Amino acid sequence: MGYYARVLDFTCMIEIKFLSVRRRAALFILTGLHLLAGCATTPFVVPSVEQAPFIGRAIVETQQTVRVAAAVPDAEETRNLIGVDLYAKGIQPVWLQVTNLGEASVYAALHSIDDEYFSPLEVAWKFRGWFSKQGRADMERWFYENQMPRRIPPGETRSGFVFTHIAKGSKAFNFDAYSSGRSFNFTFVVPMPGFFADYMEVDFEAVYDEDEIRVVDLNGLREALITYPCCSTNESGEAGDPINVVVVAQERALGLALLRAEWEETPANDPETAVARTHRHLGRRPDGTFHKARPDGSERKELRLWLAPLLLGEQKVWVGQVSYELQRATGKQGFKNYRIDPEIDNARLYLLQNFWYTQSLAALGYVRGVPPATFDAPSRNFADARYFTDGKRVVLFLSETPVAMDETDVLPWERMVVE
Amino acid sequence: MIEPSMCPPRVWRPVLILCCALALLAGPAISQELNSSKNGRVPPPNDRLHETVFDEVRVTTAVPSAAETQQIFGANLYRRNIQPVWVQIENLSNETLWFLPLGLDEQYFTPIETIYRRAKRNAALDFESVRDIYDSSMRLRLDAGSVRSGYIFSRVDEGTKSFNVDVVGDKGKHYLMTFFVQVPGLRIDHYKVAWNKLYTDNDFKDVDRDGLIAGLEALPCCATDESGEENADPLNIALVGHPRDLYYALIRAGWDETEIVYRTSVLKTIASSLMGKEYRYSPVSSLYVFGRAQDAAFQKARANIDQRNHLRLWMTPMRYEGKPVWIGQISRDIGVRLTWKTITTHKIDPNVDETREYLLEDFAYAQSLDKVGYVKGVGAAPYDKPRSNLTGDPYFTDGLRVVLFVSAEPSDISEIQVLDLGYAP
Repeated sequence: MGYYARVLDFTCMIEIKFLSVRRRAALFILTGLHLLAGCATTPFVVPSVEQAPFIGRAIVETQQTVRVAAAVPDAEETRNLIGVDLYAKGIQPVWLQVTNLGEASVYAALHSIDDEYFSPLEVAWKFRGWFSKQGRADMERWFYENQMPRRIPPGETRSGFVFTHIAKGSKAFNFDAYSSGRSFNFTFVVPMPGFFADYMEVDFEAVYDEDEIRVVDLNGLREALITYPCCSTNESGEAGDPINVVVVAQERALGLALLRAEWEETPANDPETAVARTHRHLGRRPDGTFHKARPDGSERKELRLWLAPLLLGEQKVWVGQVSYELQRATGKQGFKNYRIDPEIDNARLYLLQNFWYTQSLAALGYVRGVPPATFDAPSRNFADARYFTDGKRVVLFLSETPVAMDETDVLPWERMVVE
Repeated sequence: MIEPSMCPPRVWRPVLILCCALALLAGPAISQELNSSKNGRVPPPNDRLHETVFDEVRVTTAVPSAAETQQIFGANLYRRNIQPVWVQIENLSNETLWFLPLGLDEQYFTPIETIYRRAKRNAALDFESVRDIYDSSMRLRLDAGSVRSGYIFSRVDEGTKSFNVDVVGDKGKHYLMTFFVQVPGLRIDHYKVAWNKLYTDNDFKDVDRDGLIAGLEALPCCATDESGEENADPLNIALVGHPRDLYYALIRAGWDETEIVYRTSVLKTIASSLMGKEYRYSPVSSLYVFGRAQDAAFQKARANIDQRNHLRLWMTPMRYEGKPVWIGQISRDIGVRLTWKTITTHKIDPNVDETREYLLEDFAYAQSLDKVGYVKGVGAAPYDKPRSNLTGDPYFTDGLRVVLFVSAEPSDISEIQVLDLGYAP
């Protein structure tokens, strides 16, 4: 059965390229025969969503008169529930339940969760070949009837699915609902069972003894950062990339900011982060490595963070490095060339803007601390990759709640941009 | 409605690809002009300048076409999905300002990334060769009283490109300016429509709220074929707004314009079919209302090759609060299906109401929606008794038309007024 589905998928999805009209017609007839001969007899078993185990993990948040519960089934739970492998097609269902406690109708804006969400019958179309005729009709109707409804009348509750693009690791999304003249804005971060990001394997409470940690005020932080080690090292102690990013935030604010800014978590020991793990600082690999890929190419940005033995009051301080990388660069040449952009300040500036535009930035400042290098006399890291920099570190103070762009404080430290 | 899929979607500006292959052989040598950039000034690529003044900041921009880019940068950057945007910023204030390139394109390329793509992504990066583009790139610091200009490298948009130029002060003051720039090279359908000549003053009818509802409900259910005899897709979208506001709203929401059918667009369509690449501006088939084909068609490509939305609009002779009223049709391609007539065609989502709600939200998130309401006029077709369009695609609907009142000024989702025009979905 799967075979015929795949034949049909294949012919339809790759658009029968390179074939003449006559050959297309032949293929069409052939596919038709396949389907007739095929044993697409599987019925569709109507899922029972209320009893599904993943609903037990729902996260509930309330804003004024709107209460939202959100849960995300993983690949296996989705297969068990619906009988088709949505994840294999890049689709991740998000289950929502919205209760309207107010007196006017509330509208769910599905666009806020994923602006390229899949429509229910679009999802059903992808699995059209998997079932018997009746099974397909049942499946289509199920998808149609189980999309999250948009209108929630006053005093009522509605629930259903939104079919989103798959996220690696934790599923983070915004959800907006609106009624006439007002809106209700939610952010959810839903951990996925079975996924362990690198930072989840670090016991942050045990990284430092209490007497190793210095508690500083804002001025003390600035002083400490100016004299902070310039760079990461490799195992034998040679200098790596400059430490040009400092983040002041508790774990949740940092996590939310990274997810809002669309950085992806990486699993521990991911081959994709092999280069990142050659960078050591404070005697260990990065506590967390994050990637942000271009949608139209293989280039990406990489952010490596370590928890520093510093506290600004009660706020944790993270140090790290950010750079433009070439994906899957391995081997000797790869090490030399994995960094696309030797002007590493570009990545630092990108990260700053990224947090600023996604409304996570409470304040920002710049400090010195890295030896400057110029285009004509670049520095080199232990892998012989060249770079040049104005020698500054950006200090990003993150907020858990959204900060409008013009409310971000710019600290009167070093100048934001040299050139 | 479907697009015959002898011409499936997906090609980027392909005709230029052929031309540029030859040009690339000549090697990437940057034009002499750019080397005069040591003082932070780079000359504009053309004389199609767009200027905006916001308080004490004057911004001028220009976007080079594919051919102009080829000439200036010695490589077909468009083919690598890189479109340089020339920006000149004059800081008339007495504080230092900063330009934030992320506002122009959240996926902007750094100068050296641009070089990397120019070098076709495989060459070991020759450090010295990056100098030319590095020098031509826009610097970010704007001292009081200074003028600076240079290029920012964005992703390609043909037709009309929309972007922001964002400037901030040291104390956090923001200067935000939006530009809509026509990039030459395409023949866009609505560029040729003389909006003020579609109807005479006598044809126009100014309507109040009740007149608007009655007028919209009296319009035909569906677009038709050329003869007017066969019903095509349902007209389930009504819009109220000046052509310019409508057009900017759609561009802001990421909709692409549509080329007319002519030799080049047909060749591009064929090339897209062969190479399996995206052609964002591909011509669409004509549907008819008021005895004429759509005044403008827009399309929005999503991630996958088969996923594209089509929108067709006609101006009606009604005016509400001085603004033209539009009627339209939207469909969502969800895949490709086989047919006897055209071998393959795009399968549309039969749940046309869902596609209608998508458009509503798309306008809301482009901050272009003032008010929204629903009227009847399409005629209900239940899930179990669907109707069908010209190509036999079934659809079902609650029979309502959404009425979107387009705002001229950015409007947040919390400001949208939900009107009671008699019906709710």
